[in-house]
Amino acid sequence: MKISFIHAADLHLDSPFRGLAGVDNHLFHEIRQSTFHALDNLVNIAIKKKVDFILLVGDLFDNDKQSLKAQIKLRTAFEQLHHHGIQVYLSYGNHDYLSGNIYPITYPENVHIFNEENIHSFIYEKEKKPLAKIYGFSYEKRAVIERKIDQYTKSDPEIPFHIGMLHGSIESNTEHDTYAPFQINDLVEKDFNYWALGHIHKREILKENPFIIYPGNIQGRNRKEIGDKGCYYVELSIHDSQLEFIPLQAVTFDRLNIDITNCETIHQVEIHVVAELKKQNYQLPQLLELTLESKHTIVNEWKNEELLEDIIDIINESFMQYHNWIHIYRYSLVHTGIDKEKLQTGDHFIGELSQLIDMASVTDYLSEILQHKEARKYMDTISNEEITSIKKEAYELLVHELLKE
Amino acid sequence: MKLQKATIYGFGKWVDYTIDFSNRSFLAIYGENESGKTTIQQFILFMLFGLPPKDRKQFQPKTSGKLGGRLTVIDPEIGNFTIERLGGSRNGAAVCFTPDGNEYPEEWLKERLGGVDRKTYQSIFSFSAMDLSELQEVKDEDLSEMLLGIGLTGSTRIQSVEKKFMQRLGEYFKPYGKNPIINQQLIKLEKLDGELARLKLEEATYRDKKNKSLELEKNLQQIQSKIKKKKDTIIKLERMIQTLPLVEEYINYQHRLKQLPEDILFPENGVVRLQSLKEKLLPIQSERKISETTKSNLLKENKELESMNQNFPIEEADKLLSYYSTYEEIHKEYSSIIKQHRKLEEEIQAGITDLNIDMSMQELSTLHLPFHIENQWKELKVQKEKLTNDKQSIVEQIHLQQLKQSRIEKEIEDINVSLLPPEKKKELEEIVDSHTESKLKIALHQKNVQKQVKWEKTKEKTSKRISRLLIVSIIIGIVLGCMTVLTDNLLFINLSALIVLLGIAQYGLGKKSIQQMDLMITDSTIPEGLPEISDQELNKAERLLQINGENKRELELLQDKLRDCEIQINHLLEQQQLLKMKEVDLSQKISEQIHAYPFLANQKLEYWPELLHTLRNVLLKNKELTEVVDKNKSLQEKIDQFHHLIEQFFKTYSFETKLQTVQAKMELLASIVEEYKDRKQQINQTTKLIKEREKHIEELTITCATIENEIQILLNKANVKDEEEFYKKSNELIERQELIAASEKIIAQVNNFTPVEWEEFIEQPPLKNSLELEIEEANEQINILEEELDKTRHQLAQLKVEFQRLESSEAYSEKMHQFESEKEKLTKLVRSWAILKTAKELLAETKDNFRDTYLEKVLQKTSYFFGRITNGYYSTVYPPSEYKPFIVERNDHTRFHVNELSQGTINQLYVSLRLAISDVMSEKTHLPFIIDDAFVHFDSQRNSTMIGILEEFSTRHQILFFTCRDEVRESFFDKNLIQLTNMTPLVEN
Repeated sequence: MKISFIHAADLHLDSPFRGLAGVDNHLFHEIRQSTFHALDNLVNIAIKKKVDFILLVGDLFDNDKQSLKAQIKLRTAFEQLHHHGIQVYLSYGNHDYLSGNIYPITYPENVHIFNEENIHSFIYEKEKKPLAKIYGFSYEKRAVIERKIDQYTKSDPEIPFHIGMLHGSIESNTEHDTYAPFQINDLVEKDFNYWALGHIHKREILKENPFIIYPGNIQGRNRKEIGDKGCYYVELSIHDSQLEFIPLQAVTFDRLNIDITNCETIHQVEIHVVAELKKQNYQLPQLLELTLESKHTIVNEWKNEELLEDIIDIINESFMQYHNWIHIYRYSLVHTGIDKEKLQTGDHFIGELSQLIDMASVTDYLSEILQHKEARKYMDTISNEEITSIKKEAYELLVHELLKE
Repeated sequence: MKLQKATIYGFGKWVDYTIDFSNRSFLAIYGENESGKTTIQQFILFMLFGLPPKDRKQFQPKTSGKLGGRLTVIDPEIGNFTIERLGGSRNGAAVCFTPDGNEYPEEWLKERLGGVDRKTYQSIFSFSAMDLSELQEVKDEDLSEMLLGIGLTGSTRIQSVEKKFMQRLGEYFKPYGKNPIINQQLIKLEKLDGELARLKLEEATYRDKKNKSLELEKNLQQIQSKIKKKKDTIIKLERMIQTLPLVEEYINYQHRLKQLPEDILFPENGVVRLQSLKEKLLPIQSERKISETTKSNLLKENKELESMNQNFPIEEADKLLSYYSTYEEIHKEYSSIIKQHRKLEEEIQAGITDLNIDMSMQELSTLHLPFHIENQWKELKVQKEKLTNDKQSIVEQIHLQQLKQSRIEKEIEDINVSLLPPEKKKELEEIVDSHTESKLKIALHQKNVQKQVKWEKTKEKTSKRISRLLIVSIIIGIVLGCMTVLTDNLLFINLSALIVLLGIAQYGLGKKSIQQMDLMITDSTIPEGLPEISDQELNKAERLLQINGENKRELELLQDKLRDCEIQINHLLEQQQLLKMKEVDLSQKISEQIHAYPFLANQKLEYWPELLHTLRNVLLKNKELTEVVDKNKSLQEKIDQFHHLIEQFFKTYSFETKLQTVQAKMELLASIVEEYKDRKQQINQTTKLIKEREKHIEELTITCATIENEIQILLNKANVKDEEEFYKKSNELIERQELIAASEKIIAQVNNFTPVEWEEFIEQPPLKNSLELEIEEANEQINILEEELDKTRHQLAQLKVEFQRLESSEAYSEKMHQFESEKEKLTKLVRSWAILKTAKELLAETKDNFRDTYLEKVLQKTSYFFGRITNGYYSTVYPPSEYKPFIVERNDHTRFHVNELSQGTINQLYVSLRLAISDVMSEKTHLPFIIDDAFVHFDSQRNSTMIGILEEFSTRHQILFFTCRDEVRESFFDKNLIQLTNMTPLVEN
């Protein structure tokens, strides 16, 4: 007795990307389509592997930025699966909660939707025999804060496989909004064969027996969602269960550090970076956050003279025409030499500056824009982290400018 | 930190040179100009802070490959350590060696130096006369700012940086600007946001449209079901309308059923049975009737036939007919004789013609040819031939025998005398001929007499007949004339005239033929002109002729004898003469013959025998003809007799006929007789048939009676008197059955209705009009509904199109991504701006703070040093304010602007300021000071004051005082003095 299925979550179809400002139109279009391509990949994998069903554990799209296109593509994908007799069990999460969906799209009959906040279940039958019972719920509103895990109860024990779908986070997780919180032990106690989790975009196998898994999202959409993104292909049998991660992303977000200490001119930097990028031999288009490290202080000059920006533009342009193109959407220069703060203590003015910096209220400095009617409307709130970073860069800029020969 | 020892491996002009600073705090290094003071300063700076390769290069010793050296220093925290820098290795980076044997890199050194770099160091810890002169050259306006910068990062830098920041900030953003990039971006976002909202709104209509579509679909179904209902109603109503006639029919049937009696007594299959009986009876009856009719017809016919036969004289007719066969034979004979007669006549005529003789029939009949004539003519012919031959032969010899000839002629003349004269001879011959002819004529005459007798009889008969006919025709004409008078019909008078005329004509013709006949008969009288010859005469003639013949032959003999006797010379002549004579004789004979038979005149002698021959035939035929004519006469008589009989018969029995010929009449008679006989036979036939019919009729009558009996039985069973009633009753029964069946059929037909519905329907049948009205209404409603349906469908279709458009549109998705991307761009821009802004603000704030914390201290120190240097003449220095430069206060509290001071005083102020700044700024970092003849313009008193001040300084900082001035050198103790010129062998380049 065996079932096979694909577990995916957080598709966030057609939700906007971070890091695309200044991307060429052609790439922009490709990146924009990437969530859909990832979905296509998902469907194709399911068909290729001839799975019994697919579990989609919430956040298929974003209600806030929901486009009809996302809905239609989803429907098309489901129809394709339907055509191959693959069932889909889907629940909605905090981004695609039931009451927020403005598009009443009708999915084909192979799609089984957990359409209320109470835990309920579907029974998957193969050749008229019930093989799996799938439990789950959907978010009706933007948030579910109570512990939904307590409501999961195993029933029909004669059915061989029991699978829980849960869109939520571990109670201790502070990085994300904690929805439907649970602890790993809670899940283990339920005696299910598989726990299909969703909500956390970074994939993680919380436990192997039973499987408690966050598949992560299927396509990275910002600088935090890096590396391969995809789904889990699962084969459950009584004695031997298999788990395989299958990347689905159409475009990879990634980070790369390159040491340019040996480069004395900006031109050398360009050559070096291009060579390093080529060495990577990427198999998919890349959106890179590049960190250039150098022990030379001259790099600060390049940065502040905007020479580096020009170089990055040139590099981007040179990789744009590749099938597996590379686009550096963000870069930073790290001077790995002597700690500047320490270096500049001898300078009384800069010393004074250093003393000031901790106390300086950046938000006050920025009030001009923060109070600006239009700007406020379109700007994201500036996080503390961002303020620190701004402060740091401002400081570096100042020091550089002041100490410039 | 103090410098202990510097070992120069090679640096500028110094090679392998060691300076021992001996841990002194205040050390003067004396050397004249170009003695290498500055190089040593540079070496120290190089050791502490390093040099970029380019700068290093200028210190490469010309005599040595080595560049670098070691500098041993004492750090208050670490103790002493040695810095080593080599130009060739490590790229000039320092390596620090501590006494415990550890090595440390450049960074470590930097840490030890408290983060002071060469620049900072130079601005704080090192000053020279040049610095001071620079200070003096500073423009008044910039002074306060410049002062700020002394020993710091440099106020000019701060200023320019501030300026730059301001400018760049302006490029990025102005709160009320339009052109800066952030403002631009905001405008762009504003626009995008608007578009996005519009698109979102449009996509949001999807749900409304979906709802609307669902509603429409529901409506559609409702309308469709309504239409269906209406249509059902119409169908029902139409069915009712269709059924209405049936309903009426049904009611009608029921009504009629009620009128009929419930029970009807009637034999099973009565009508059929009756029908079959009648079918049987009818042909029999009709047959009987036909038979009877036939019978009466036959009787009538019989009667007619019999009456027709009664009036007919069959015996006489038979007799006549039997005569007729005889007559026919006679007639046949007659006609053959006539034919013969005609033939003979023709033959005779032909013969005459053939003979080419001019001779009529009468002449012919009178012609008599004796039997010898043939020989005679033959002879003549032979003679002539011979004559001709002889003549020819003799003529040939005539000239030779002329004489002889005459002799012979003489003899011949003699003989000729003894011969009968030709007249006599002719006479004799005529006698003979006429004898023969007369005999013939007598015989002919006798025949004619007979004929005449016969003709007399016939003539009588004929004249009688024709006169009778004339009388009859006149009578008929009179009768017809009377009829004309009676009937006024002109046809009859015409007819009467015609008949009378015909009668007269017939009489006339009859008379004429009789006269002709008379003429013909009377002509044949006996010819009387011929002479009668007696047998004696005949014999005499015949004998004479015979003698004459004998004489002739005698003559000939004589002639021969004469010849024989006479000279042969004359023989030929004689012969010729003889021949001539013969010829004459012959010609005579011929002419005799021609005279006798004139027809010979035209004939050549040669053909006379043949002519005779032919003529004889002709004569024979002529004789035959005569006989035929006789026979003809007798036959004609018989025929006439018969004609008379017929005429009589026709007249007697008044067979009106215009037929003239006997044959036709006889045929008519024969046919009449035939008819008679046929009728007789017919009468027999019909009589027989009549008998048969009678028998048949009898049989049929019996059969009829049987059948009629059976019919009566049927009628009795049905309890009716006659057939009429029987049929009526049967019809009633049938009608009843039919009505029931029809009713049942209708009920079967209307199976669409439930029995209850049907009952209702029957009881109160609705009016057709009202039903039609209902249908019309329903149809109208359907039309309205269908219009609505169409409209709804149309709307739905439009919605579908909209759906498709929306579903396929990526506009919102695209715009959203674009918007987000632009937002990100904004964020990025804002960030850049924020950095700039923060930097700028930080700079400003730092500047303020810096001023606040350091300026006061600096001014205090400046006041202190200024007082010391001026020996208390000036007490306080005030910082420059917004528009004012430095202000100094004299000990009498008088204040002066800096530009009111003398140059020397200004110099003193600046030195004080410089010292103050260095003093203040070096508080944290105790690095050695390097002073390079800074007070070159000071007099010795001031100089010593300065040194005093510096000595104070040296308690906190090691001071290396480079000088070239002896007076300065003199003021130092030896141990605190390093004299470069004395001590070191300078390597001259």
